[in-house]
Amino acid sequence: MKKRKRITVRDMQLYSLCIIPMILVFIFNYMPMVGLIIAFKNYKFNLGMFRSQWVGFSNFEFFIKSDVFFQLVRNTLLNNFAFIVFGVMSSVIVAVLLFELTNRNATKIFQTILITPHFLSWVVVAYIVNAILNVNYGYLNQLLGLFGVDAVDWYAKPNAWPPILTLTFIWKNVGMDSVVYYAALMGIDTALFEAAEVDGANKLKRTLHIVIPSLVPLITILTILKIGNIFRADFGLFYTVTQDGASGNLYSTTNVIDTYIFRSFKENASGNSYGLTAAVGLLQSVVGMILVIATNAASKKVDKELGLF
Amino acid sequence: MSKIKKVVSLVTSLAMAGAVTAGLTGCGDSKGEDTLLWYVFGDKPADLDTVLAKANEIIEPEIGMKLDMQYIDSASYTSKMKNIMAAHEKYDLAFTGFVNPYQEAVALGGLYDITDLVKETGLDKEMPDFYLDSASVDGRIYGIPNVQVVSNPVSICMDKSLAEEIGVDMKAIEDAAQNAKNFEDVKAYSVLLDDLFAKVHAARPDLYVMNPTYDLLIDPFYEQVVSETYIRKDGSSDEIVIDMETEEGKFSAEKLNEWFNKGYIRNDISSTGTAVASNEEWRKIAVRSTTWKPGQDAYDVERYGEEQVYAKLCKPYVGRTSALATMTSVGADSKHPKEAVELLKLMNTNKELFNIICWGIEGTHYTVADNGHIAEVENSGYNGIGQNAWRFGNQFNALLLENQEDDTWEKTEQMNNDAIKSKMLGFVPNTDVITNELANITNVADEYKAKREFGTIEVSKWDKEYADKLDKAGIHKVRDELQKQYDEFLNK
Amino acid sequence: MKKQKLINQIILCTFFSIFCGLIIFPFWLLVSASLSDSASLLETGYRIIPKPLDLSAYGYIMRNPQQILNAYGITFTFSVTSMVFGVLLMAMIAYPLSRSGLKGRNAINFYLYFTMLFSGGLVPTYIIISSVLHLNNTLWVYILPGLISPWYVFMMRTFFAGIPDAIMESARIDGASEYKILFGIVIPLSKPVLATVALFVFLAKWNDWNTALIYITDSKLYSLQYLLQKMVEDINILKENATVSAINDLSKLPTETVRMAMAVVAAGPALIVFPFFQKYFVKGLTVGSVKG
Repeated sequence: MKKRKRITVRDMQLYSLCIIPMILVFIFNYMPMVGLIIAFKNYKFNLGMFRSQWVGFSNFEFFIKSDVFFQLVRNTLLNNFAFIVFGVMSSVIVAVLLFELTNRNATKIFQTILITPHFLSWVVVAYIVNAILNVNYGYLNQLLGLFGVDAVDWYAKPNAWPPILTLTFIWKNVGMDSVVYYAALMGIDTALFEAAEVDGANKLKRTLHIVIPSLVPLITILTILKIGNIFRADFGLFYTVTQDGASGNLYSTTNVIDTYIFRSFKENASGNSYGLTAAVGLLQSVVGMILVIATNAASKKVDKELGLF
Repeated sequence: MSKIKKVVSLVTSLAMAGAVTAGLTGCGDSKGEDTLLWYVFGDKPADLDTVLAKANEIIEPEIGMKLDMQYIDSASYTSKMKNIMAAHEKYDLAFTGFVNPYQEAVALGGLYDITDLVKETGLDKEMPDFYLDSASVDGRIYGIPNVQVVSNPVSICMDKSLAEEIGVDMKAIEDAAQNAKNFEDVKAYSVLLDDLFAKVHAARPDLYVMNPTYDLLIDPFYEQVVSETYIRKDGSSDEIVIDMETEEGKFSAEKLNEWFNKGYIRNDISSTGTAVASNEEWRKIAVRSTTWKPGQDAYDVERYGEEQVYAKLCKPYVGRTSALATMTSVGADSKHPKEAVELLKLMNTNKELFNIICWGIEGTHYTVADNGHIAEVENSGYNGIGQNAWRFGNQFNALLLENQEDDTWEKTEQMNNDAIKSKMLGFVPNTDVITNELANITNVADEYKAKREFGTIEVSKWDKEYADKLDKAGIHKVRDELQKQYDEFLNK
Repeated sequence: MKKQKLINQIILCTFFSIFCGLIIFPFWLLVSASLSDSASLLETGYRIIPKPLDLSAYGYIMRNPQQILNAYGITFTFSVTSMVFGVLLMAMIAYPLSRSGLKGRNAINFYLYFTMLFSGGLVPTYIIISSVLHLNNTLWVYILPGLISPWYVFMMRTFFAGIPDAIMESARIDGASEYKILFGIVIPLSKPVLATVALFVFLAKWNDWNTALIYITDSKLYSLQYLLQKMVEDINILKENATVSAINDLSKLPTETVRMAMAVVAAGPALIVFPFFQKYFVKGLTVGSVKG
């Protein structure tokens, strides 16, 4: 297929299909990117993007030289890493198990229930998490009480929060994420299963050799996409659900890049908040891109067909 | 990859071209040239257009332009105004203050310099000097404080029945706090608080004893300068100090921890972030720390369901930023700054106009009783605007509601005028050189919020670490810089 | 063998029942809170069974149903419109990208993917949408930005690529244009992925509160989730400015139970929509079998 060939009428037809979507992306995504120059400026409203003063890389320096830089990177990376690994694992497992269910009505009910948390905004989730973890009346503490364990003030235990946040994340997303995998499984050629049955393969073998491999391309792509954003933290989860890191007590594990930037300008937004925010955003993008290119290359090494581009 | 490079460069150049043309074409005004656009925060009342038409009968002959008011809900007011300023959308007036912060908007270049217009129109004669002094940034004025109460003293209050039941002398607490000159006095005053809290706790174990919204051992005596730096309210010292480096700061942290451990403060406060977020929660607190102003008593009866007794912990005081909480500014790109300032003057001087904007049209939206007080007509399409008259201009022009006392405004004005004025009025620190330090300090202070402000953890376990981190974040550099600027300001 | 299968099914069903119970439990706490009275909520926290049962939160919302109904209408309109146009346009670009022989395919992939990583930020985006295109305070601002999501394009692309080439090849030999192949063959064969993307687009739009926060000042155009967000944010403003005396007496705020009720009201109807999409996932199976 790698032969050089001329562009045919068919190719032109294919290109023409791309035009409108590409224009939309251009207008709404590429045109605003001119604003990336704000990252190198001391941005003032009255001077605008172009006439504001250049400040070189000093906006980046602010962030990189910060005392908590390593803490932020560590927290952002580790939490997101856990979200990706456990998120993908749980949604694949749920999809595969749903696929094994033969009663379609049951599937419908279960799937509908699984996606309900998706409709709740993080603020509402924060209320619910508090209802479970609150030191006085939280459900978890009531449960612990039954076993004679004293109530724990979870909002003062930083080490408990990476698992709590991961669980919250999975709870909110597993239903929706598994929908993709489930739909993909629906597309598997049933002839393959029949052949497997003829060969006497049991359920487990069938799952391991047909079902999971058929999901690998999708898993790879979705994971690569997620890795690109591994340096971006979900502000709502890390700020709202932790109740602003429970007023500071949880920062050692829940302070992430996005919450740090937010707090930096809470009281002094005139201090070039726009420039610094843009700089950190740009940095997150660049690192993300490097990671994506690396994972993309790695997955292509494993299998040529895998990979995003 | 070379293909990718080509695409990238092509896209970049196209995007640049697109953005430049976009910048050149600019945008037009949707409303006519003869209309002033005023952004205020809050939910838009249904009858706004009718009321504006009535208001324009007064405005148009006076300044030759009409007024169009745009309400933006308070949840998004700040972010929407920032975008409007950043995009150079034309508007003439906007609320600045605790939402859409004034000093921030000035520093970012979002507001119009109205210093000369204020003098020209004589608006500066319409309010006591300290309002405009507060608003001046390097001698220039970018907004007019909406005249209202700005000197509320930090106070505590509790249900009168409870106070009588346990026999509390609020006056003694008030005197001890108001007369405290030094740290020894503060300690003596804290003993009275201890005593009060202990009695309340014994009598009503079902209530939280207090809410640490205000720091009862710091706020009556110190004014916040920037971030964790403070200055004495009584003017006995011009030295800017750092919270935890003062005797009171450390003592207050220890006391809070003691109160927390005794169960006076709700034990889940670090996860709620505040002691009170609703009227129901207010009622669960026995000794409420809040502020006081004339008319507060009647209002509190409604809010807490019972008559209150108060201890005002300091004398009325106008701080450096008190008047900046509620202001009106002119947009940087306004084409009619003069008319805008004239309208502001009108809102400060013309009672009839001001009350149309606040309460709507007599008969339709409100009714007047014999004593001149008014009652809102329910579901009239213009409810709940006048209660927050401080959004529009001089609140003292507002008609009084039935449950307000006749002399509410006179008393308030009196309190403002008699209040101690901060020596810092008009001092606006230039934070450009300490931006990064301030950002770092905010982060550190946030990290220790539960410990310092709510007393959740024993002080000796964290105070050294906190001091270290603040020092590393640059608190001393910030203090020295502020002190330098303040000394220069005082010498002027 | 049959018996084994039945046992497996029973085990699976039991597992999912428990799992769904765990998932729904926190949501149920929310529903229960919305049915409680606010004073007892403060007293005892959230309960599994509201005691005493109190419908006043819903009463509060329904007292002024105009605003909510209006927000429903707005949200439904832009969600459906975005769904239809989004799926159509994304399928249009995903199809060429699924054709491994197409020149410049990688460049277009990258063109799309780049936007997932890099964005111009709030201010420049606002300027383009508001000052240049004048989309603020229109329904279009909910629909157009973000209509093409690379994420979904890649999902569709992967699915399209899995359709056996032989089917399309025979159409080509018959002289069908690429447009005809896309709309006549690929799209009908791809119902599972199209339904998935449609669902995702619909739900993402249904959950959209951020657009209104930035671009909508006209309360008649508020989206449903923004109404909810607004209620909560109004309270946060009070919290954050607890020491600003001026706002001490801002008008009465809805209680926590009202916020919960609002969350339930906002989520409810979208859940009913879900089974409608599910139908197509099931159809995907039959298509797959025909394919073989």
